[in-house]
Amino acid sequence: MSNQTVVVSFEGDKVNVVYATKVKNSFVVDDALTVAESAFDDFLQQEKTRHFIVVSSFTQCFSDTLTLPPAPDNLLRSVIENEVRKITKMQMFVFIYTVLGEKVVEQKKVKEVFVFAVGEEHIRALVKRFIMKGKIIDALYPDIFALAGFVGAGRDTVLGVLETGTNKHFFLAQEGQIQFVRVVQAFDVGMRDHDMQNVTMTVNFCRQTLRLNPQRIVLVGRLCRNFFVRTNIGIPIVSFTHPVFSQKIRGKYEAVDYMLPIAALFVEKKIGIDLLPQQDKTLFRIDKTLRYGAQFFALLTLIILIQAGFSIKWIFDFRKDIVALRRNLPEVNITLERYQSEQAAFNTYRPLLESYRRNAGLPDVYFLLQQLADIPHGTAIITSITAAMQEGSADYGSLDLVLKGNMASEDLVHMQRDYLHMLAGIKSLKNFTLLDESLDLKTREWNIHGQYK
Amino acid sequence: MKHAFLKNTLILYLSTGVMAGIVCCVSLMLFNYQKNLENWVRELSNITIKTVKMKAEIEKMKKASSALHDLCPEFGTQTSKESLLRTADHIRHALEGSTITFGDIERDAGELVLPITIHVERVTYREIILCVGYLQTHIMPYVHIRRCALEQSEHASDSTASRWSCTFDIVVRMADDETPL
Repeated sequence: MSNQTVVVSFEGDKVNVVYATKVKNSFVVDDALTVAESAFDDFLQQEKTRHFIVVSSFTQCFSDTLTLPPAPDNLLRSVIENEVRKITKMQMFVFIYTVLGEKVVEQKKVKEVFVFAVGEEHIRALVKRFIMKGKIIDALYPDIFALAGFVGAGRDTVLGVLETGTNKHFFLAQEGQIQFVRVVQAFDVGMRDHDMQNVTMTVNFCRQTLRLNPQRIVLVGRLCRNFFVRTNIGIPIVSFTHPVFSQKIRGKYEAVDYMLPIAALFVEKKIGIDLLPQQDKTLFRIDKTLRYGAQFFALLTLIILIQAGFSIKWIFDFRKDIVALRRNLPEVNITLERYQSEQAAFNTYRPLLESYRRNAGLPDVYFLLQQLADIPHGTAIITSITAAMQEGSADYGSLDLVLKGNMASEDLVHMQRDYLHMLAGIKSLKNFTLLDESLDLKTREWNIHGQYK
Repeated sequence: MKHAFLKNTLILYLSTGVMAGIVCCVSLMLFNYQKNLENWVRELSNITIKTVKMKAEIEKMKKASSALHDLCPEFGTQTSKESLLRTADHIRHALEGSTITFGDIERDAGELVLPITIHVERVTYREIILCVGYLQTHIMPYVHIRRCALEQSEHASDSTASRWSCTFDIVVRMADDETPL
């Protein structure tokens, strides 16, 4: 999305347009042009940009310093609205105000407020021109208010003079806030002696009524160059200028003529000088929301299309795989038939296999007898061996082994030693568990009972 | 005027919304079709894997059948009872000279069971081992030794010369083909 801002400034019978791009905290003016006020609708028709910041000098406006009872801040706006309605008889209007301060008049505390109000029909007429061409106004600033932040920045109180057509706008700005506005009709362009009389009157008014003393007169725009004054009013007169205003935009337009739209670029929203009626703001907000919605749907469509693209690719891949896999299906049937026939043939051997399996799980009597023969007996003689399969019990698959015998030696120590030696040999048999054993020294008979698995 | 202003935006909003909806439906259908194909491929792959496994199983069964046939060539050529009696005959011939007592043939857990008692006198320990070895290897897997009882009848100073009397309680088991006994 382009970061370009377009500002349109209505200045008498001409409209100045500035195209600027925001770079960090500043703006770079890309282009500027001036169109006749009568040709502005055609310009809007052809212009591709949809969003505009609009600056206008409202000739039919109400501006005054009101003295109001000290209402709380949350009610002040309603009080001012009623007061303006009472004074101007306007029913529908948009206004901005600046609280100048509190003072005591006739032992009563009052609040001084500067109000700038414009009839809604004037604003609506302006806004309509944009709406008819499908354009959106992001903000609508009165010219002097847009300029005030530019010219009156700083702690000093200054009286700015701006020329729109032949009209002269006097505005008193303190710390960037408008304190007072006066519009005076003039006969000639440029700053002349009779304009200086108006300046003197305005300064006097500020001093006497507002108790604000302008420290200098600031001439804005072309007035800096069209200065034909010989009168000295005793206040410094300065030109609001900057080297960039001496330059030409695209080698064609003098930057000094675009001071208003350029000033509007730097207006911060929080200072609240936007005159756009709430109704229009809502309309533009709806439009903006719908457009965001449309963008969201478009993005969603794009994402889904990409997903669909992948799906189509995968579908083709899967179809290829299926074709390849289906080629093997006839072989599957043949293999299944072979498997079934082979299984049927093998099943006839299953009982035999089962017999082998069961047999393999039984103790090996042959191996047991061999192992018993290999045990060193010494003087011990085995006279009886009984190995019985334990069936139908928890010890199924094991042999109950009973060995009996006697000792040939008559020497008791020798007898005992040979018996233990033989017993150790029997106990060392793999899978043998000794359950009971005894050696009777009187009869020299021994008995060993165990389990063999 | 306001409606006219919003008309184009609204048309844009609705058209993109409808387009997104249509594309979403089509994409869902494609996705569904893709998933079906994916399942189909998975099924076919499983079948292919099973086929390969089946082939391996066929080879295994062939080898096993062949090995079992080599071990018992007569298996399956006779009835269970005939096989049982043939085995008993083998034992009788092999252990000629011993006292052999045959029990009654019974059916037990899907098998025919023939109990046999073999009693031999005055044999060496080595001969007994050979006898057991014969029963366990040559008559395998039909013979189960339930009990063997050895008693030394004559003791000799050379233990290998000692004489033993021996009684084997064995059973010959054969899978029951359920032919009448």
